[in-house]
Formats: sequence, structure tokens, C-alpha cells
Amino acid sequence: MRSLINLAKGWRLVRAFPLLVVGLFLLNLIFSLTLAPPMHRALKDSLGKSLAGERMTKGFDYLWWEEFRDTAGGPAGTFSPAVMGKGALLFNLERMAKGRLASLPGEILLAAILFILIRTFVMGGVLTIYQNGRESAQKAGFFISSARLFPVFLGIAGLAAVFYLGLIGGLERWSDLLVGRAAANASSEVSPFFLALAFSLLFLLLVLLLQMVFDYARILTVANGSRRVFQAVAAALRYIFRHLLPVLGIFFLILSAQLGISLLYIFLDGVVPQASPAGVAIGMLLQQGFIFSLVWIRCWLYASQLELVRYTG
Amino acid sequence: MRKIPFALALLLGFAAAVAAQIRPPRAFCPQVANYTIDAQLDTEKRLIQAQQLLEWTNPSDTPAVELWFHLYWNAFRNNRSTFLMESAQMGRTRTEKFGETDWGRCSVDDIRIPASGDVAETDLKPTLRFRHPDDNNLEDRTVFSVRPPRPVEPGETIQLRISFSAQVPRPVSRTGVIRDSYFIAQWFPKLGVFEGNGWNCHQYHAHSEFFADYGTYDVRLTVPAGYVVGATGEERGSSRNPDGTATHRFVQHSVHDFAWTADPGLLKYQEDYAFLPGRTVHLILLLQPHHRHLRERYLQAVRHAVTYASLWYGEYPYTTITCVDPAFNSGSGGMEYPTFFTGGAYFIAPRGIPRPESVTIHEFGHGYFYGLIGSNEFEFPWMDEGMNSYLDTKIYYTAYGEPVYSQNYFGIPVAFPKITLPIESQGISSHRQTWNMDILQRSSWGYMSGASYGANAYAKGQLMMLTLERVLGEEIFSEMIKAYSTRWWWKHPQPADFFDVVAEFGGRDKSDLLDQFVYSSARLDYAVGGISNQAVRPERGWFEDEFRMGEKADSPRFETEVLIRRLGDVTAPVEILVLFENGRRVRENWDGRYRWKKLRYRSPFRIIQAVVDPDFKYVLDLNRSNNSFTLYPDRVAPLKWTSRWLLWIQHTLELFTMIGG
Repeated sequence: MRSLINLAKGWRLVRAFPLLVVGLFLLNLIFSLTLAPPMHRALKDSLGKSLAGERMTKGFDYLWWEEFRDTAGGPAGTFSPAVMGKGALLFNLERMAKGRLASLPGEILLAAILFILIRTFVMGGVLTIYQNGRESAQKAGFFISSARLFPVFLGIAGLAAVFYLGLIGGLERWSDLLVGRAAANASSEVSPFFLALAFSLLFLLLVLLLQMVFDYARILTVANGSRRVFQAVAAALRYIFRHLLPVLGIFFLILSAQLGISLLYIFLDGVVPQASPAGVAIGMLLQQGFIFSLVWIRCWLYASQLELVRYTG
Repeated sequence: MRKIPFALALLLGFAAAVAAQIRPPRAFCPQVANYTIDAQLDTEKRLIQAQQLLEWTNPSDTPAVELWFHLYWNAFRNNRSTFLMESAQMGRTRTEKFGETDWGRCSVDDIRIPASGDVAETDLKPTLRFRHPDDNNLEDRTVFSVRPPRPVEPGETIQLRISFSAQVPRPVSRTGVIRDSYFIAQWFPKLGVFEGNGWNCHQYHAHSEFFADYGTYDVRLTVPAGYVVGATGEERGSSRNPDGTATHRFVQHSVHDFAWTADPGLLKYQEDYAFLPGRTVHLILLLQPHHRHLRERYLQAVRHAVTYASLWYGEYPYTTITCVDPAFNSGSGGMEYPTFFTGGAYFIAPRGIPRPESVTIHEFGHGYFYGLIGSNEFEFPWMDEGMNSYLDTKIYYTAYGEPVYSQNYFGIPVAFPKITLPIESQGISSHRQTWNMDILQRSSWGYMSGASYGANAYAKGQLMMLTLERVLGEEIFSEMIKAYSTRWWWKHPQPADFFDVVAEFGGRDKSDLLDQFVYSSARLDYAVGGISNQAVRPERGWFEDEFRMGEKADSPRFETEVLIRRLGDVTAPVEILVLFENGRRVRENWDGRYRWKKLRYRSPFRIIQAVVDPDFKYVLDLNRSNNSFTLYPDRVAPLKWTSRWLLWIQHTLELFTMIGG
């Protein structure tokens, strides 16, 4: 019940400052678009003046794609049906569970790192506005808050990176060995499959719990004015254990919303025909609508968590 | 009645007796090497002990001074065997974690010529020598020879009684035991092939398969009662023994190998299937319990395979087909033996993804290419793998349509129904990545790498067959391939034999084309270099007695040109399709020999499109995209797919916010 109330308040808070969501969405879009021209050029060069272009507009020319894949390098080498549509979501989910989200070509990783830095910076301002409301919503106030909170938030991000890449990555490699050993003597693939799946689910849960801890570390920093990274994380852990049920409630309800929106996107992406310029445009809008909703949900999560902290005092 | 001289009658009678001995009335061919084996499997020690009676008739016109045998399981005896050394060089450390009891071996305990008439029994064991015809690796014991007291004359039959013991290995390659599931292949001392100028009996290599002569196998297998047993041929009865074992007898004539499986957990399904009017075969499926939901998919794949193969390559002659769904980790999946083969399935198997169908059809197909058409898998790997890959692809696509693209996430195959794989895509990618590593025709262990072996033997061979089909046309090709197939059943064809049949049906120039594919690593790549449409310039200057000052020309308005280029080194006659803006289509032919060709037209209309090889005959063309050229390239496609790819990037960035923000 408490979770639902905080969710409702969080929703209203996000709605009260829609430009924040728009700004975060544009940040995502801008950083992504820096990677677009090289990919566009690679595709255009490969399709050239051949009729494969027509086939790729109307559908997917598998023969052409194999040629492209066999010769492409760098970020262009990531172009594959495996990362399109539903593939993109499943691919990322699997990599997240295996602690391999950062296994990317250099150019993409660089963009991601810069993105995280800027995002870390602006989240200070965003959370301050959610915390303090309209009076801190002026431009100067936003950036001053961001700058003030950046060192702590950067520290929290660094710690999060260590835990995610080090702990999850390490655990995943250890679990791989375990599954391999169990599989080596199995005469059926079923139990190794379920063992591996169980580990993946466990690591996903661990990733989500880590996210919870570091989210609350940021929120409590804003709420309590703390300036110490480890202090903030410790405070977050204490807070979570003291208010476990509402914390988990908010988290998993938001997660359900995220899952729901993802499934909706996968469904619409599958049914909306994208074989004509108009269809392609609709597809692009659908895509951006999906990403926008993910950004909105992220802000909603923060806002709801903040409301919980406000409620518990 | 004219009297036949007594000597002639005697000679004729002797010849008939010899013929009867090597070709029993029911057999399809001369039974050169007959094996009668009595084997007992000790599951506690994982040991097979067997007594083998081998009858071999010298099929050549040269006396055989020695007899050469394969002992394939000695490849798993230690890591100095040729097989394991070659595997290690390729980075495959198959036996690194092996304990004392995991290794395999096959030992000849006794080998003798039994007494016959006045001739006393002869012990051949003292003459046993291990041979290394391929690499002089003295540690390799996969080939041995013995020397009978006198040569075996042409047409003469020799009997050998052999006792051997075979330690069943942990699976390394194709055979072994995992838990209590046994798959037993290449397990007995198997004679090589005597070709008159010597024994064709290669060592076991990391990439080689097998070669042997046809004969009758009569095998008794004694295993613990309760084990489900499957093997080559027909089961001719089983009996329970007082010691808790059961003996199963399998018999098959006119085959060149015998494999078997014993596993207490297998589910057994059987049916009589009418694959052609008046022709029935007994189908047996031995299935892993956790794959029981795939039973009908397996059976349907076998039904399709035997039906289409019979239509296209000759009626399947044997009475049984046994398909085994192998145990996980058995290493025995996707492998072929006469009338008996293994498939391969995953318990999550969405429809549209061709597993288990594709591998089942492929392994059944080997019953033709290698089974019936007994080419030498050591020396001409493409003649079974390439041809069979073509066969299995044609059957799959005919029976099921184009398979869909799939990707594994969390070990679960996910289908992408909107992306289908055209038949021309089968193998072209691996060929593209390896085209300049080797020529197609190499001995199986003679390729630069495992990737090159796979790409040449399987992919390039398959693509070559598909190219040949399209170049000859379906009708001529199907006559040709059926003729080749049925002519060479129960024989050992070589590449030249196949080329001869191609030339017979398709003309000598087709053999020339095959020559380029088989004996060179040249790549095939034709391209449209460009299209040019120049407005016809008004006439200026003296024309007869008339001076013209550049008035506008009436018609035609354009001088148009298409440039076709040969970028690869394979030369082949090609067609070009030219499309004008008024919809007119022109087909041209080019012999494809020189490096380029220009097609010129004077036309009121511009050329807007050109395609070289418009019917996609040359599926070996490494770069299909450059085969077409249009003045109006589609600008939407790069935008569309960049945008779709961008979703992944955007989603990735949002996931990164769990780290920062």
C-alpha cells in the first residue's frame, strides 16, 4: 500500500517537471546520434547502388547482411538482427546478467562512459529539483546543485562500476566454471541449462539490488546533504533494510512497468509494417517513444524513492 | 548338344563359386569384406571384448602381400596420437582433463588364419606392425598390418579370426560412453581398401573420416539386459542370458561400416513407412527421454529425407533406417553410419528453427554420399560432405521452406520469423572467409585449418553443387545427379568419375568450370561496374557533302553503356539483364573471360538498372551486392537500419544509468 502511494506521488512529481525527462531523453538521443553517422555511412557504402537497398527497405536481406558482417569492423560489426527489435532488449538483458554490459567496441564504450559522466552530473540537479521543488528549478540552481553533488555522485558511480563489473563479472565467470563442471558429466542438457538460467536470474537480482543501493545512496545524499561516498552507501544499506518492504515494493512495481512497456514495444515493433518511408518513420517514432518511456520510468523510480524517504523522515 | 570341355566346366564352376561367395544372392554388390563379430560389453570396466571372423576377397588384379587394418580407437590412447596432436595444434585440447580411466584404445589380442583342410592354423600376431603412412608418427597406432604366409591372390578369399579388446573412451570424437550411454563407432579392427597398387589405409586424423570396402556385417552384441540397443542393419533377434545380459543380433549386407548404441534410457519408436509406391522401410527412432516432445519432428524429417532422396538419387535399397538422438556430451551427434545415424536436438526447439530436422536430414543423406556412393572420405572429403550438404539443404528447403534466423539468449533459441535464410546463404559466409586458404580438393587433414576444412569440404562443395544445378538447369542436373548416384552405388568413385558424368550430361565446358572450383582457390566475383547515360550530341562537321552545325538530334537521345567487370579469377559465362526507363528489358550474354565488358546501346531511353547473373546461378559469387547497379539507390534503407540499430545503443545507455545516474 505504501509503495503504491509513493508511486502515485512519484508520478505526480515527474509530471510536474516534464522538461527534466525531456532533457534526459535528449541527452540519451544526442549521445546515441554521435554513433549514428559512422554506422549510416557503413550501411550506405555497403548497400551502395545495388538493389540490396530496396530489399533492405522492404524487409531484411540476409545475404547482403552476411556480406556486410563478414567485412565490417568497429561499431559497424555490431550490426546484426540479434540486436534489433526484441533482440536488442534480450541481448542487453543477457549481457547485464553476465556483467558484460561494457564489452563493447571502443567507440561505443567511450560514448557510454562520457554519457555516464554527464548523466551523473545532471542527476544532481534532477534529484535536487525533485527534492526541493520549484524554487530550485531555475537554470542556475539546477547546474549549481549538479556541480555541488557531482563529486559524491561520481564516487557513487565509481563504486557502482566496481561492484557491477568486478563483483557481477567475477561471480559470473565463477558460475560459468561451475555450470561447465556440472555439464561435463551430464547426459542431458536440461539440468545444466536450468543451472545456468538460475545463476543468470540470481545475478540479475543482484544487479537490481545493487542498483537499489546506489539509487538510495544518491537520494539520501540529496535528502541529508551527506558528502561522503561510503557514508552515503552505508546509509543507503541501513535505510533499505529498515524499510525493506516498501523499498522492494516500489522497485518491483517500477520493474513491472518497465517490463510491460518493453513487451508492448516488442509487440508493436512486430506488427507495425516498416517497409515504406512512412512505415520507417512510424518505426522510428515508436522507438523513440519507447526510449522516452524508459527515461520517464527511471525518473519515476527516483521520484517515488525520494517520496518514500520523505515519508519515512 | 555340344559338349562343354571338362576343364572349361570346372573353371566356370569355380568362377561361379567364387562369385557366389563374394556376392550372396541377396546382396547388392560384391561382398569384399565380411565381418562376423561376437562382442560383449562390460559396463563396469567399460570394456568390449570381441571375437571377429573376417572374410576378405581380394577385389583387385594384384596379389596382396599384406593386410592393413584401421584401429581407430588408438587415436584416444594417449596424447601423442596423430589425431590428438593435430587437434592440439588447432587449439582443441580434448583430453586435458582425462583421468586414468577416460582414455580409449583397441588392442588386437589374437589374429590368426584358422585351419582349413590341410593348412594348419597360422598365428599372424608375430607379423603385426604398426604403420604410419601419413606422417611417420611412431606413437600413432591407428593403422597396423599383418603378413599372411603367402600373398592373397586376385579373387581369392582369406579368413582371419581376430580377438580384440576395446576400452570405451570418454567421448572425444564420435564415440564413447557418458554415464551409461554408449555410442560405439569405429570400434573394431577394420580392413583398409586394397586398390591394387597398395593399401588405402590412412591414419586417423583430427579432420578425417572413414573409408572401407563393402561387405556383410553379422554382429552379436551382448550388453546388460534392459539396455536399449540400436545398430546398423536389421535386428535378427535378441535373447536373454542367465547372467543378466542380453544378446542382440544385427545383420546387414552391402555396407562398409557398423556402429551401435546401448543406453538403458532410450525410448524406442518404430514404424513401417511407405516412402514410394510399393516401397517400404522400417524406421526406428531411439530418443532421449527429455526429447520425447520432438519425436514427430525427428520422424517427419527422416520420412522427408528418405522420400526425396529416393526420388532424386535412387530408391533407398535397404530395409531399415535407425536414427539415434544422442545423449548430451556423448560427442556422437551429427554422424553417419550405413542405415544408422545420429541426429542432434535441444530440448527447447521452436518451430522454424531447423533443429533437429536439418542435422537429421544431413546424416540420413550420408547414407547416399559415403554410404551407397563409397567415396574416400580421407582423400576426397567434399565428395561426401559437400554433395551431401547440397542434398540435405535441397530436401530441407523443399520440405520445410526457408528456415528462420534465430539467436540464443540465456541458452534459449529465439526465432525472428521475419528474417528467413535463403538457400544461397547456406555456406557462402564461411566460403567468403576462407576462399584463399586452400583449394577444394585436399585430403581431409591437408587443409590449413579446421575452418578451411569445414568451409571447403562442406560449404564450397555444397555451393558448387547448387551452382552446377542452376547452370545445367534443374532437369539436366537431376538426370545427371541420379545417373552419377546410381552408377556409383557400392563403388568408390573419385573426382574424375564425377566430372565424367557432368561432362556426359552437361558438356565438357561444365567440367572446365568444375575444374576451377575444385582445383583452384580462385574466387568468383562478377560485378556491374557502372551505368552511363550520355545525351547524344548534336551532329557537327561534314556529313557526306553536308555541313551540320549542331542542331538538336532527333532520336535516339542517349548513348547508354553498362560496364560489367570480372573482379575474381574464376571465368564463367554470365548473363546480364539491362533495364531501361521505359520498362524494356534486354538480356545479354558474355563469356566472362576478359576482365570487363561494355554493353552499349543507342536508345531514346536511359538505362536505369543492370544486373549480372540475374538468375543467381553462380551462388559461389563472393560478393552478390555488386551484381546489381541502379541509378536510383534506395536511400531509406541505411536510415531505417541505422535507426533500428540505434535502439540498441539507446537502450544500452539507459542500462548504464544503473552505474551513473
